[in-house]
Amino acid sequence: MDGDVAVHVRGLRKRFGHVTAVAGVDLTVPRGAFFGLVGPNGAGKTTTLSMLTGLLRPDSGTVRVGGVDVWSDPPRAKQLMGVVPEGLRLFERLSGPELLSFTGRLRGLPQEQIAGRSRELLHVFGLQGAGDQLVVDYSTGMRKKVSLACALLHNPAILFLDEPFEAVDPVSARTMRDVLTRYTARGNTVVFSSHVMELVERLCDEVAIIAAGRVVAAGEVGDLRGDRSLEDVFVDVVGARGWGQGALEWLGSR
Amino acid sequence: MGARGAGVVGLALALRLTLLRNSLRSGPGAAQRQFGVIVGAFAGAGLALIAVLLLAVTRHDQVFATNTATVLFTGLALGWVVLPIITFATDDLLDPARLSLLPLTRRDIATLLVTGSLVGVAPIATVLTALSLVVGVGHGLLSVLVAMLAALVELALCVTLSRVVAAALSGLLRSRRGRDIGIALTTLVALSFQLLNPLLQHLQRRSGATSGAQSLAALAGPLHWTPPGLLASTPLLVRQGHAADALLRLLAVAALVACGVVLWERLVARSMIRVDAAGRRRRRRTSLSPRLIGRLLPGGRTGAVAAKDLRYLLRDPRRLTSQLIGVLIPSFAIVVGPAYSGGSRPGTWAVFVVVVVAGFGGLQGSNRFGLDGTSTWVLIASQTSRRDAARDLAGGDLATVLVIAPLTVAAGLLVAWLTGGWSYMPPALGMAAALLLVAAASSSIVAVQAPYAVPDDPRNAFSGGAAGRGCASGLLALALLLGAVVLCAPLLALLFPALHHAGYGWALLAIGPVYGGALGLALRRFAAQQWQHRGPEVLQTLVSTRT
Repeated sequence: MDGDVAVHVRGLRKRFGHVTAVAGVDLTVPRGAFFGLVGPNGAGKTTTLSMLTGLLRPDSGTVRVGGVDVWSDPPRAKQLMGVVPEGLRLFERLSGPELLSFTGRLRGLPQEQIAGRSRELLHVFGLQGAGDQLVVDYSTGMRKKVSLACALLHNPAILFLDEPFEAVDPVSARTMRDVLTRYTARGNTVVFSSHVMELVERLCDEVAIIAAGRVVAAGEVGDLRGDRSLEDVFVDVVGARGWGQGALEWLGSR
Repeated sequence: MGARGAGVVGLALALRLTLLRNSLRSGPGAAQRQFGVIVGAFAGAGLALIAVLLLAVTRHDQVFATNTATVLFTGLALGWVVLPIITFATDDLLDPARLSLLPLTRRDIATLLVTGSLVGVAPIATVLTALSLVVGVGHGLLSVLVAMLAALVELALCVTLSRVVAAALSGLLRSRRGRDIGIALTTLVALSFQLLNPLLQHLQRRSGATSGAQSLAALAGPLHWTPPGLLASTPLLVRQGHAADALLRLLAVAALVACGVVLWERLVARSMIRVDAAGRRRRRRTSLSPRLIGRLLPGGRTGAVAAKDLRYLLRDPRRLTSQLIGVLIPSFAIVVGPAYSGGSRPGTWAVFVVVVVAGFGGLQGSNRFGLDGTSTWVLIASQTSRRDAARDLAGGDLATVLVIAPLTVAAGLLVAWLTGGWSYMPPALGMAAALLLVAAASSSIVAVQAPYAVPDDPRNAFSGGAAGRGCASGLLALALLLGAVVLCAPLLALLFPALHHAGYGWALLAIGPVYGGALGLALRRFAAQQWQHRGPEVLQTLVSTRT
């Protein structure tokens, strides 16, 4: 029944104490889509992605990934997914190659496959030069890259990436985009969150705008934006905050 | 310029007081900061009080008082040398580079930093401790005056030393590796107190000193010629009529301080413009050990987790700290301390220290997920069966056993060699093996049921994160250790006869590991079931209590 749907989310909710982080999110991500999740800070993107990937138990709602219910059959769902979370650390006192080897062994991959794929991934993401430097000493951009490499290692069908391009230099970002575009072109699905509207506009087929824990707009990028830029649509939908007449008058005056 | 200087002093005072006040405020990590400030204040007040009392009591014996003052003065100076390495990351007024963007002259920065270090618990405690010299040796106006001068020069010496160390090492200390060194050093300082008593007793026995005074004189002898020693000796010299000599010593140390200040100013100027170590890319030479680790361990998930834990133990000072403290302190408290307290040769029974080492050592994985922190998600996201969950825990337990088992055997061999209790070794090791395996498996239950976050940014070796949770989890672990002891009780049937018949001892050595292994397997099975279901909850605990 979920043949053409990679991710199917209904009525997802999560409260932390008195704060409602996610207030009923519905999402449908078609198979093979490059799907963007955008929203202002604190909108609930990370909470939503955590619940989609089996890392945070929702208060209510269902999540099906590749036709498998994430919260009633987590083991099967986890086989299908690769995850790059935001705000969670990696095992950073390992070097890049050690981290990949560790991840591969956790995933139960054969030794030769781990070695071969790690070498290729490190090379493609330009991390082979880091040698046995520990990940804790990596820059933020390098961490994002090694994190993505770990998520790709077991060749999952669906990738969930939380702010994957943050602090990544333009050259590496291009490489990452190319890798991900090729990945989706082969029928795999990417769901990613970002602040950078131009990037979402350029990469994504579909987008959902989240604000205050709800999806306030969703659909194909072209339909959503019409003849405006996605940023304008975003600011319109989310509601820009005025800064009041008279504030900062002194700034720049000589 | 004068007004500007006064302004900078005021700014430094205000900044220091604000920092002190903020450190006492509530918020993430407040408990441990408050704990640190309170412990620091008590330790400082205690040190000063002890110094004054000690020197007041020994006032009649000027030589003894001077020796005491020499040791105290040297200790203070050493403390000030170590202090910036330990507090570099938490003390905002230590790193000159933090001020580099402000429009301040070099002199302003120097004033700011010096004022900053003259306000706080440590400088007050230092002045009070140093002034105990007045109480102890000061007699007559001139020697009191000289003692006060010596106290002031001591403070200047301490602050200068500390500032030179901070400025010289600022590049290193700003880096991750520098923080690691700070943490390791803190542990060493803390553990040194545990080791101090047996060590002093050993030294006393070797030097043939029969009284405390003789030991003190032996200790102070070589310290008389260090700068703090020179200062401590001045009031006595005045009383003996060598006022000129005393003055010369004061001047010599003051000149040294002046040189230190000049050096420090240069170092500050250099450290403001130098690229720090954190920014430089360093190739880290992987030592033999990780490869060796890889060879020794089983393949698959269990081996991967065990290898990761062992690498972390080598690379993360917080783990080493917690393991050392977790094993050594109970061992000293329960066996080594009592064994040495009599003053005579410790009894052969002390070999059973191995059971304590194994028991507490086995519990070291009790907060494994807390130590892994939010990176625990990697395990949760890749767990695709119940068996995977069991392997996660087995890997952690395996790492514990691989570290603690050799440590236990080494402790046993050492104590047997010291006491001659060789005959107790087989039953003691058999018991220890059973307890280690049961305690390790029990620790996986605690790890899943009661994880608590350890701060992400390790600035303090003893930062326990949520202090209450740590305490509760510690009590839970202790309860589990008692449980493990109860579970191992059937082996006592062999232990008691083994104290008299060697045959039973060897039988216990053979049966202990098998018994512990089987029981451990059953316990871990239960823990794995919990771990598979509680993964997201464990992660949520670590995320929400993260500081």
